[in-house]
Parts: sequence; structure tokens; C-alpha cells
Amino acid sequence: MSGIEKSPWLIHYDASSCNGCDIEVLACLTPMYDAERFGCIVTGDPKQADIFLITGSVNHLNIPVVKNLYEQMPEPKAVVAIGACAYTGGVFSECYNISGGVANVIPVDVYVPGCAAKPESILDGVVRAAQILAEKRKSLKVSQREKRKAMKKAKRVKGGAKAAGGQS
Amino acid sequence: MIVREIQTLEEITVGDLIPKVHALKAEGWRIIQVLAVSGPEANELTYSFGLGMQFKLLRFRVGSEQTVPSITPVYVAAYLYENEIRDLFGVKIERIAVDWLGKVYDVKGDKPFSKVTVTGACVECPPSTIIQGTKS
Amino acid sequence: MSAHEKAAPGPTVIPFGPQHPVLPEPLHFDLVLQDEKVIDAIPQIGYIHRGLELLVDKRDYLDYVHVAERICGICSFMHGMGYCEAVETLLGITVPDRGRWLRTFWCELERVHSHLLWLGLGADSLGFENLFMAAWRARETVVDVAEETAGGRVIFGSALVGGVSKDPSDETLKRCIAAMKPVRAETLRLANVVMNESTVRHRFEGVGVLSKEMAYALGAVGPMLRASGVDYDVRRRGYAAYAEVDFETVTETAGDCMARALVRVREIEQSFHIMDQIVATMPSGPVAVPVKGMPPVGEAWVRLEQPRGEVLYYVRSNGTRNLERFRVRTPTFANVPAMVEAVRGASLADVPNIILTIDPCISCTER
Repeated sequence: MSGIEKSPWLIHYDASSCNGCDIEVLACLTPMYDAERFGCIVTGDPKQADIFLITGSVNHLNIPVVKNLYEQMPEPKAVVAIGACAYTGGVFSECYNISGGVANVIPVDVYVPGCAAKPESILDGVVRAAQILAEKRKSLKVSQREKRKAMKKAKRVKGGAKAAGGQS
Repeated sequence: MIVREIQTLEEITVGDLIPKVHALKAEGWRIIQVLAVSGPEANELTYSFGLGMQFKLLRFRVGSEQTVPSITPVYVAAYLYENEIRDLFGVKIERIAVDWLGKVYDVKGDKPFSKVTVTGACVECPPSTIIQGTKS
Repeated sequence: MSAHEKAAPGPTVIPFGPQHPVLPEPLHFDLVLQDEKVIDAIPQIGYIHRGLELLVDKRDYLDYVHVAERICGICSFMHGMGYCEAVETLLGITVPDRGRWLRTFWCELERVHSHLLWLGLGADSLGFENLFMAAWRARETVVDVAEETAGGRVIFGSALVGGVSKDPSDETLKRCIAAMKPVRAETLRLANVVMNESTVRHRFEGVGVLSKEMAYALGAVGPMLRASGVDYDVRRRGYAAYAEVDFETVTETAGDCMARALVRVREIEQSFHIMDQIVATMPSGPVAVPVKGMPPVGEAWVRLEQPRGEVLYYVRSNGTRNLERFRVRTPTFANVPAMVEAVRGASLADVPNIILTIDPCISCTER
């Protein structure tokens, strides 16, 4: 299974946005901008998704929903925060019911600017997220290899200790 | 074909609400919305009704401890407005047909809209004023 | 209980949303089912509630237009304009003719873009990908026209207290009308698909029926109300330049999903008809009057017709630069009781397309 960055699956969630960015995300998937040419597919299932497209400033009620969706996604995963609201809260930053940006709730990898973000910049964000996904996958592999090595080593040491214990 | 919009405002008391609303329902008016404004001492509720292009407002004030009867037995569709007003403003509305028990929005903080007090002079609006007519 | 005894066939509660593949926005329903039949639906809203009505307290009344435009990204111009009309009523300002004409043009442009967007999402709820893509491809031209004339694709950004902030030339507008000709032809083709394609008919006809009496009694608005046979359109109030153009109020009588779809598809044609007249009779002159000073003490109520139906704006001022209270009652808010009624009695598989034919805009609803 190589090249997850060549066919990332996307999940989209509207976390208290005004809809402007959401319809632009949908516009990205339709014939004019067509994100599918990068191998992307939108899925409704977080357990199958690699890139999380999130819009809006995440209100009080949405915090557990966003966290839940993020935690259900398999590693490696990338988060793209779309629009000014997802960055700081945008025009709504002074509203009482919002948490003021996605980064306050889950870690964000790519920010897409705009209010509303334009489809071209959303596509840029998705492509950048795919690269980040590849890097994350690489470092995940390395860390897994190191983990395995460390485990093997620990086993050997433990085994040796046991053997030593047996002798005494 | 342009229909002239006529807006009327009528000041009533809490006790008059249900009979008035019954009369409007019988005449065929439909509910448009319920507005709450939090004043310095009392909350002000304004019920809007529409019939064709006519636009009627019923307005009264309630103290923070006073209860308001729900109009859902007459206009079922008012349940969302009433739940919203109760949760955001803390107006005591009784016997709402569909009751969310204070969780319609599930917002941060308690009754956030009641903290902004409105002192505007409109509370003293004369009854039955024609506020605005659109040009034909 | 032994294995031979059957479990009592009590109702089952199925949660629907907030994250659901068919919903572009978070909305939660608790569907109470008896076997496959929905016997009750309890909506849970609040996933988009930001509390932006309270922002009037922090923003200058002239700057608040930017917030009003972002009540919803689909009907953004109309929200901005509705706020402006309410403030203008309060101030006693008359918008110059060209400003009123441009407002009407952008309103109708937004209606076309919103209805095409709905057509795509409605088709998507049936799994009819092809129609989804076709509707959104047609919509791109409309959005491009918005960008060229107003400055933004979805958030137009051209609403201004006292008029409009952009002034596209007559030649640009004529060119835009010409550029949208293929969209008109495509809409007719798609209308034909909606009416005659067996997939759509199978999922839409006789599903989610709302009677005329029920729709009226539950306070439904817009295409939802008109699809049940009630002739009600706030544009008849004659705001902006609607008094000077000729158009037809589209109604259907069946009250099912198909009727709601047809009302929207046929309204697109009417919107093009209005835009043609607007561009043909575009007056010259200024697009806005300068607005200075404080708003007077008072209040104003304004109603407009959005793609989703009647919307109501209320502003109240105490004579300072910050308004005291702003309230917007959006069409989807009024349509929620009717939506619950339409879902009741439907089978579980039809719930997504019934909800979609209401054209819900949750961002508007919760503000």
C-alpha cells in the first residue's frame, strides 16, 4: 500500500461556519475544479478518511463532535482548516458561543485563507495536506521501525537477564 | 401586481395574549415569529402574525418572575420560538407543546441574551401605530 | 425471556447526524421508528449557533453589514441587503434607482445559484451523481457572474447601507446576461430530467407530502409553502425594484418532494426573466446615497423573499452608533415544524431526501 498521498480520502465537516466555505468545498468536487483529478474521494466515514476538511469556528456544542471525528480517523491524518473562521473565528471572533478557531480543539496542519475561501486555494490546501500526509506516513514508518527495534532489543535484554537469572 | 404592506403594532397585556391569539387564528393569520428583547426591568415579547401582506404585532412586557402562557395550543409552530426565548432570555413560558427543557441550542453560559439590556424608547410605542407602509 | 419469545415490537430511536454523508451542514434528529416507519422526529439544533445577533452591541451599525452577509453563505447578499433595508427604513433613506435595480439583479442571481445548488444536493441525496454534477457545472457560470459584477463568488460583499457598493457597467451586465444563456438552456434540460427521469420520480413522487392546510398552519414559507399550493411570495411587497418588473409566482399543488423540486426549478426560469428585465431597463445615476451620523431612536421590521422563503429582519436603535437589538427570523427556522411533519410517516430511507427538499440552511436557522 504505497502512495497514500496520491489518493487521499477526504471527510468534510461544517463546524459552525456560515456555509460559504462549505459550498466552496463542494464546488471543488464538481466538474469545474474537480479535486478527483488528484485522486481524492469524499467519504462520509471518518474511519476511512485521510484528510479532514473543516470549516467554521467550532462552537460549544461542536467541540466533542469535532474531537470524536478526528479521533476516529486512522493515522496518519492531516487537518485542513478552511476559511478565516477556522483560523481565528473571523467576523464571529467576538461571538460568545464559539471557541475561536479549529486549532483550539484539534491540531491543524494546513490553513486555507479567505472569507469565503476560494476553490483554487482549497485545492492548494488539499494538495499541501497530501504532501504532509506523505511526510507523516514516512515518520510514522520510521517511528514504528524504531519501536519494533526497541522492543526486540528489550526482549533480548530481558531474555539475557532471564538466562543470567537461571544460571545463578 | 404589488400588494401594499401594512404593519400594525398593538400593546396588550399577558392576560390578553391567548384570547387575542385565538381570534387571530380564527381570522386565518399565520405565525411569523416571536421576538424577545431584554429590558432593564422586564422582558418585552413581540408576537408577529401575517395575513397576505398584512403584518400584525402584539407586544407586552413581562417581569423576570412572571410566567407567560405558551401559544402552542393555538399555533403549534411557535414551539421553536418559545423554546429559544426561554433558553436564551430566561422568560418563563409555560406548557410548550414540544419542550427541549432548556437544551434547544445548548449554548455556552446561562441565558446569554438576557445579559444585554435594551433601554430603547420603543417600549413606549403608542398602540396601533402604522410604522411603515411600502410604496406601491 | 426464551429465544422463542419475540421481543415486544416497541419503537426504536435512531440518531441521524450531526455528521451525515447527505447533510452539508450539521443537524441532528432523533428518529423514532416503528419498524421502518418514522413515527416521530425530534430535531436537535445548535451546532452552528454563534450568537451573532449580539454582535450589534460591538460593531458600528454601518459595519455590521459584513456580519449580516455572513449569517449564511448561500443567501449572503439578501441577508446583507435585508439588514440594510431595515436600517434604511429606520433612517428614512431612499436608495437611488440604480442601486435598487442592482439589488434586484443580485437577489435574483443569488436565487438562481441557490436553487441550482439545491438541485445538485437534492440529486446527491438520491445518489444521482450525474444530475448533481450537471447542476453544479451550470451553477459555476452563475457564480462567475457574481464574482465579476459584485466581487465575491458566494459572499458577494456588495451590500451597503444606502445602496450598493459596486457599480458594474451596463456593458458588463449585458455580457453577463449573454454568458448565462447556456445556463438557461441547461436548466430547462435539467428540469426535464427532474420531471421525467424514473429514478427521481420514484424517490420524489408522493414522498413527504404536506397538505395545503398543514403547510399554512405550521407557518411554512417559500417553496415549501408554494409547493403545497399557497400563493405567497414576499416579493409582491414590491421592495427593491420588484414593483417595476413582471414575474410569476410559481406554485404547485401536490405538496410532495417532487412539487418542491419543481417549484425551485421553475423559479430559476422566472429569475432569469427578472434579470433580463432589470438589465434592459437599468437606469443610470448613483448607486448609493452617503449615510452619516447616528440612527434615530426607533425600530423597523422588514420582510424579504429569499430562495428558501420569507425572512424577517428587526432592528432597534437607541440613537447611538451601536444598535440595541437585531433579530433575523430565517426561512428554515420557520420551516422546521413543517419539516418534522413531512418526515413523520415516511420510511427511514426517504428521510434524507425529504430533509433535503426543504432546502435546510442550518447556518441561517441558528445564527
